[in-house]
Amino acid sequence: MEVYQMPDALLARCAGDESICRRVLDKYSQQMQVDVSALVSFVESGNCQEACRVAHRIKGASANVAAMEISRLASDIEKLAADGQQNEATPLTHELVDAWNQHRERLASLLQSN
Amino acid sequence: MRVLIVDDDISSLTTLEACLEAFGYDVATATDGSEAFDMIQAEDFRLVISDWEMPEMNGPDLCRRVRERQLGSYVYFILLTSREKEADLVAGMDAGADDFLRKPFNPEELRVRLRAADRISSLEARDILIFSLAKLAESRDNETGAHLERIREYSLVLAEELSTRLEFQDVVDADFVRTIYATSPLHDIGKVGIPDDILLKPGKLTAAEYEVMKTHTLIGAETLAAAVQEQPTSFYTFARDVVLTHHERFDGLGYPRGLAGEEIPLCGRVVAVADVYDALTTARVYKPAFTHQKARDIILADRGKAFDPDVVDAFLSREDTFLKIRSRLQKGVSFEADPQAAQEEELALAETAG
Repeated sequence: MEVYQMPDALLARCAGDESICRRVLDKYSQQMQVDVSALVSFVESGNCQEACRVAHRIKGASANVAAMEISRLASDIEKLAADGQQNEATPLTHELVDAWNQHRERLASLLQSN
Repeated sequence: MRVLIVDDDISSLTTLEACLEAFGYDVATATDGSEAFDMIQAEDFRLVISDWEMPEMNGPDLCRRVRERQLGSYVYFILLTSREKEADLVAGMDAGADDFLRKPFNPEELRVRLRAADRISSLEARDILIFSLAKLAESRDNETGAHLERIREYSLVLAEELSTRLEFQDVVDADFVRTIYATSPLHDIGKVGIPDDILLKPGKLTAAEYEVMKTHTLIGAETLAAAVQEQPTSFYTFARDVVLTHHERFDGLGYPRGLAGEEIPLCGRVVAVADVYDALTTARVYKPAFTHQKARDIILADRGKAFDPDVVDAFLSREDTFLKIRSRLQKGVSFEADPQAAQEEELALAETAG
């Protein structure tokens, strides 16, 4: 499994303090568990307004921790949801779930160490 | 400086908090707009950094509510957003935001934007200094008490009320309201140039003495002339207008220049009502404190004569607030000169509350 490297951009935003970075990543991980599940539910049920809102939050939170692939996918889902395009958003949502699952595993290796 | 950061995303909130604390700021956090607004009302936050999209109350709506609230100290507001469209930026500025910060934030960009916030805060320190100097100028007059505090509160209330009226919406904006609060205490700074035997005379002034007393408007304006020339910004011009015109009458029979109607700057017309109300409802050596009702009747009788009808109407709409201000800021002034006035005052307050 790929070892998670603390992103320089996040480290800079956390004033160079790795312990703060870990705290941020832990909170990110916890929030993403909830938000990704909610996003899937909203997209599947066609609730585009809520899907847009959650996708927006995932976009910002992921960009903050430099998880840019997830952030990009969330941005695309947000735009599609804003236009009411549930069908187009669905496959992207699956991609986001896959990307998050991979990222979560890498994060777990960091958060469980030391 | 006490800073409030607002974001419904906890990880982003934690990151920003850490960065600001590393920069030396005292930071509090909120996770939604409603919580943030409650905190802003309860504490003295000089800077708010808020996410745009949040449930219940988003960043621009929070900003709008903060601006409507017209808190005593200015709250510098930064919107944190990934939006880049011109229409969004205009919407944010229209809501009253002072600056934007892109998400995810760059610490160095944050640092320079915070410096801009510090510069604005230092302007408020200027306002505190101005008020202190105004108090010094008034210190010879033993009867002043909390006069200046009441004047600025009364002026603020009148301006706020005018800002809600369609015909004044282009003139009385948040900047006008803030500026009149800061400059109205200066209205009588010219009295430093009035001799003691006239300024402190307990009895009625002679005609000649009254003519000397009237010159305090010109003396005050001359005092500010150098500032206006050095920096002809709206702030100093506004202050000069307050000082020069707060004794002008709407019918043109005032002083020093006999200006009439809208020739009198609006700030002068507002402070005129505030000043007269305070003079009427404050005890002096030559008169007791009049009741609110009596002062109201006097001001109403001079609607359109001494006073701008619109400003009088604003006063009538906000009488309850005037009473509250007077109650809060007139503790140091004795009602001993007229105990009945004190009783009638309490009755008026009770009627308003009821």
